[in-house]
Amino acid sequence: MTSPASSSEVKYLIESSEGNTFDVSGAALRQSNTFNAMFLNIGADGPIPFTDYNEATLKKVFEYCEHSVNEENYSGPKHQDDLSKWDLNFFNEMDQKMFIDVINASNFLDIERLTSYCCERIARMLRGKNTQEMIKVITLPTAEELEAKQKVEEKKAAAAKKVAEKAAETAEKTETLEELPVQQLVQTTRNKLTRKYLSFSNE
Amino acid sequence: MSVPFPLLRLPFLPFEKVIKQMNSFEILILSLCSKASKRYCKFVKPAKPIVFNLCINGGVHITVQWENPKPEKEIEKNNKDWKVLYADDVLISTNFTICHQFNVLTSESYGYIHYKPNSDRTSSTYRISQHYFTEEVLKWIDAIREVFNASFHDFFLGTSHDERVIKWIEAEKPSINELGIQCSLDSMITRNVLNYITPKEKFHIRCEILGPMYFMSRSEFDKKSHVTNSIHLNDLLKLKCPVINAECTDFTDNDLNLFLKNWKKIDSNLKFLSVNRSPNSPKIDEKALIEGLNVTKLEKLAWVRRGDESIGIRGYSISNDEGKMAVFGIDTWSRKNVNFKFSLFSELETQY
Repeated sequence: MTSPASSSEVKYLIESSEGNTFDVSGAALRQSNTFNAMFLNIGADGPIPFTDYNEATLKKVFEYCEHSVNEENYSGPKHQDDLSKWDLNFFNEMDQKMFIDVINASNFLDIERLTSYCCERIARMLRGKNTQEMIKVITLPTAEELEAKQKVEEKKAAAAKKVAEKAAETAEKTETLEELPVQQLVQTTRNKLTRKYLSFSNE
Repeated sequence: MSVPFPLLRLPFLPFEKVIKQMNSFEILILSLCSKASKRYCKFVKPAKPIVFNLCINGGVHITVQWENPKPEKEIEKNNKDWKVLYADDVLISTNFTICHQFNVLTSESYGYIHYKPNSDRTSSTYRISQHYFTEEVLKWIDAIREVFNASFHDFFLGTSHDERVIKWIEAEKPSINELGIQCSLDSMITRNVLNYITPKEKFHIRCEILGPMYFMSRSEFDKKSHVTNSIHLNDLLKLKCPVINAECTDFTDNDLNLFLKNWKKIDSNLKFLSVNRSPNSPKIDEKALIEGLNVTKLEKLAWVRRGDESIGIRGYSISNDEGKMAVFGIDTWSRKNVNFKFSLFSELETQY
């Protein structure tokens, strides 16, 4: 099932965020540089967990990989007019949420061809537009969002500062704690000796 | 996709890929959408423009030219009957204009038949003009400077400008290769500008009355009534700019003689100097100019090329203590006898 021997016949099991598994051919998986770096040489025991992405997204991504297995070597993004009917259908079938998920998954799996086609599609969406038209096409972070983001960053910085301060404090305390038993020991010994001396002199 | 696309929420790598597939002008437009989009576009480090010029004189004219990515598929597909030089996408409104010009940078021939889209390098020039100065136009200038890490190649400041321009210069202290001003610019403003801007390659003072383009069409009255706020030659030389071309400059024959004597003794980076006295000034006395100097009279014209122009110098050759040679002379042709030119030998077209 998940042998390191890389033949196109080999099937790998993929696990999605829902915990569902489905199989993908080795040839399709090899289009993912992430997979190549992680599993190709060492093999995988059991399903390969891509649990940050749902089943629909992963299936869509690997549908593309399966389709482009026999295509010639990738040489940069195609012009939109050069896309095949299958390619166009593939992109047109997706709604925006799925499209974004596919870009994210494709980016994580490092599938250059798919990522580039998706990005070409976005660039095309922005082509020939003036500022006002572009603002309509893209979602820009609102002032509130930017403020919230800044607050989060400030909070994070403050939390990191607190952690650093606490760590420094703990380190200081540990130093004193380490010193305490020694001091106590010295004092106790001194007391004992004084007592002994006194009792001795009394005797 | 009718719902707005969350472009700025994409992971950096896909965002970078999107930007890399856009042309430079589209990146500029995107960076003008918001502060966040400007910051994101800057991270991608898009290619610097080949040319970035700014002319402020009444209106504001920005010229920015980028090399197009290869191969030029988009142009080829969209303009099947295109010519080598054309203007497209002209958005004309009452006060704001963007003009796009497509050029072939490397082509053996100017005929469009010979243009090879897959191998020839091409560029796109955008001329962005506004009839009057606004904060909006400053946004465009700042976006080009910040996002494309561009510095000005040529910056011209005319008499007719907004006070906000001077404030902007004071605040930004922009890096400029070639600075030009109008001779009638208020002397205080000129000094102020020169305090904040040091032209790296060239400084020129343009005169509408004595300039070569306008000389013939001006009346004697215009010439006589022309008021300038001439900069003194010594102040010009203090700029330590390699090329100085100034109409309406203040100098005496003695100043020129002293300049040549100093050049002989002190090594400077000056390559070319052309200075004109204001109109109605006395002629330059050639004897006073060369007094006490060991010079050789030139037998023929020495030609020096500055940009598209070839300039002839008839006069003398001189060498300094470092062994550098130069030519200088007084122009007695097109204008009154008040022009002095100086050029290093290394700048000449024909070597003597």
